[in-house]
Order: sequence, then structure tokens, then C-alpha cells
Amino acid sequence: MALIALVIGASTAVVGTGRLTWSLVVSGTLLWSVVPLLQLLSGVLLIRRADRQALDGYFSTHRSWSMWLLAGAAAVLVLPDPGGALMFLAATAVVPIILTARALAAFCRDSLGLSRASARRRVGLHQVVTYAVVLAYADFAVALMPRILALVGK
Amino acid sequence: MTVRFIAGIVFALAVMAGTLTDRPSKAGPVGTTVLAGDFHVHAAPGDGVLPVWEIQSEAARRGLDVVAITNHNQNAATRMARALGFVDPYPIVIPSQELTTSGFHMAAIGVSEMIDWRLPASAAIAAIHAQGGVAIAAHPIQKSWVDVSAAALRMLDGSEVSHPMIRGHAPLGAELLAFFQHTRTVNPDLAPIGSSDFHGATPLGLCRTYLIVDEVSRAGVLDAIRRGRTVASGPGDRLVGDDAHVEAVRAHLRRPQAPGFGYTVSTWLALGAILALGVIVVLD
Repeated sequence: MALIALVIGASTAVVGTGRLTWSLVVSGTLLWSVVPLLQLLSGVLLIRRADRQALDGYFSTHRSWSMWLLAGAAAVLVLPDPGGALMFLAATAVVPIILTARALAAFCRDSLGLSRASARRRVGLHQVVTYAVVLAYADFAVALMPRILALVGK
Repeated sequence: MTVRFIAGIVFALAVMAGTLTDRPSKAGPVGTTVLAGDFHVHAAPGDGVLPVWEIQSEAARRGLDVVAITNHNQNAATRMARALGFVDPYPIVIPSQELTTSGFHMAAIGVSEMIDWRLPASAAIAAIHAQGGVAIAAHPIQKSWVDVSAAALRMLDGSEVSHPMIRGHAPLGAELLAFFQHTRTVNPDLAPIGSSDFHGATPLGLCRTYLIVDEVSRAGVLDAIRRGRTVASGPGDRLVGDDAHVEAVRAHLRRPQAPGFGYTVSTWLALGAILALGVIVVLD
């Protein structure tokens, strides 16, 4: 959990400033630690038992998102005009979306001993809850409702 | 275990070196002067990546004297930073809102109560003025500004003419300029505004506004916008404003902002830290 918060904190600091200082790392890590905390809550849906080992296995499925965040931060540092490549970088999020779903399914089968069908159902529920939370944050952060109304021409 | 440990040490050392090579904030200017501001900045929590206090220190680093935190229809980031007591007096941070509606986006600068997004443009501007704030048309291109009554245009205080979205998109730059020039025909004091619409990935203050102020304060800044005593800057060395104002500002101009973060020692230290973190994640 702490590593995930650190990855998000360091990545957002780099994306925002092109630098890393302790102040930026600590601020970002504390501010975005809400993400692994929410992940912990959604993990309860998946694991359904108090098991430290299972929880560690569950958090290891975040690896593809962590690597995507770090790769994005590195790209911002290296590209001369990262703003111009933003849409492309955002589109590559499809890779961790797919890889995480596959990793969660494998975790359910291998660590929780679920059948293929049960694993699929449980991952499906987990992903629905996860993206509902993401959507709720997006509504708070970008004011989705007026944008939707603009799209439908009202 | 050993490789992870070494990667951890590399990360810690790179961040420590990044901290030591970091330049401290500058002290604020005093008296009648030219200030640099960015009036369209998104913070976390919201759709920006940095909290308000880090935006403030980044603003000082990038030669900005004032920033307005303009999250979409909410101001949780500013309220959180103030509640924690993390906001310094300088650079000036102005609590604001990017009023996001289905017909237009507007930077409501200097409002503490959020403006209702269901209001038409003229009523929204009246509500902003009632709080002592100023209203700036945010990226007023045809696609995002469809609810534009003549009354609203007459009430506006400023309009974005410099915005990062026009880099490499000359027609968008022409649209912003056309909106500004058209509005000026009915509203001669309309202030030209340059804003970075900062979320992350491009530097804060990439496009900015120079203000000719009588007083280095929030009130002085808002007054300069109301009186149209501004010059929009960027991208690059593009300046938009009245000739006399541009002339006054030119002497104070800092180097044009680069579209990226540039390549300094800090860049390579940050890259080293990010790579080390990547090794830790892979081996976790």
C-alpha cells in the first residue's frame, strides 16, 4: 500500500513540476494515499476474508498501473513538449486496464482458489465498483454533468 | 532483496539531491510594478496533480507573483490548504473557480462561494461581481462558448487570448483573438489574459498575464484586471495587449517559457529516482 502511494506521489510530483524534492514526494504521497485506501476497501469485495497474504497478493496486481504511472512521469521528463503527447499517453492507459483485470482474475484463481467462472464474476464486480468510484471522482474533479449536457446539446 | 535495497538508496539519494539543488522562492515585489500571474490553475484534490501549497512554491520558482486556483465548480483544494495553514502570503493565491457550464467556461477569480453552473452567463458574471471577483472568459473558442449574449460580453472583465492549446493550432489562436477583439468593440476595458490552464504535464505559467498594478495585493491584482491593465503572454514570446501596456511590460519580461520542463540537473535526478522506483515496483 505504501509503495503504491509513493509511486502515485512521486509520479504526480514529476508530472506537475518536472522535479522531485522531499517536500513534493511527501505532499504527493500523503495526498494521494486515499487511492490505495480505497483500493483496500474494494479489495474486501474481492478477497472476502481477513488474510494478510491474500491482501499482499491483491496489491501486487497494481504493478501494471504503477509501471504505467512511472513510465508516464519518465515520458514527461524526457519529451521536449509533453503536453502535445498527452492524449497519446492517456490512451495507453488501456494497457494497465486490461493487464490489471487479467492479473486480478489470475489472483482469484491461484490465491483464492476460485473457479474460472467465479473469478470472472468477482473481478467483474470489483471492476464495476472501482470504476464507479473513479467516475464519482471524475464528476467531482471535472464537473461531468454540465459537460454531458453540453454533449447532448442542452 | 539486495537490488531492491540499492534501488531504494538510489531513489532516496536522487530525491535528496533534487531537494538540495532546488532553488528557493523569491521575495515579493513592492510598490507600483509589473506582476506576472496565471489565472487558470487546477489543483488537487480536483483535476490538477499538485496541492495548492506546492503550486505556490512552483509559482515562485517560475517567476509568477500570483496564481488563481480555478477548479471546476468546487474549491476543496483551496479550502483544504487554508485549513491546514499551508498557504504563504506570497506568491499571492486567489481562491477562484472555473465555472464549468454546458454553454461556456469562465474563470471566476476571487470568489469564495461557488457560482451556480446553471446560471446564464450574464447572471453568473453578476454573481461573481457581487463577491468582489472578476470574470474571465476561459478558452472562448466556438466549441466551448455557445451561450454568449451581448449583455454578458459587456460585463466580462477579461478574456483568455493566450492559452497552451493554441501551440501548433493557429486557427484556435485566431479564434481566441477574434473573440477578444469582438468583445472589445462593446467592452473597451476588457483585459487580455494569458493562462496555462495548468493540470500537469506542461509547466505552470507556460502562458501568463502581466499586470500593471498600483499595489502588490489581491485587491491590486483584481483592480488591474478590471481596468484592462494587462498583457497576455505566450506561447513563446507572443504578447497581446494595448501598445502602451506592452511597452511597459517588455522591460520586465522574463525569458519566454519553454513548452516542457527543460533538461536540467533536476530533470536527470528526477528521472533517476523514477527509474529506481520502477525497479522497486518490478521486484516487489
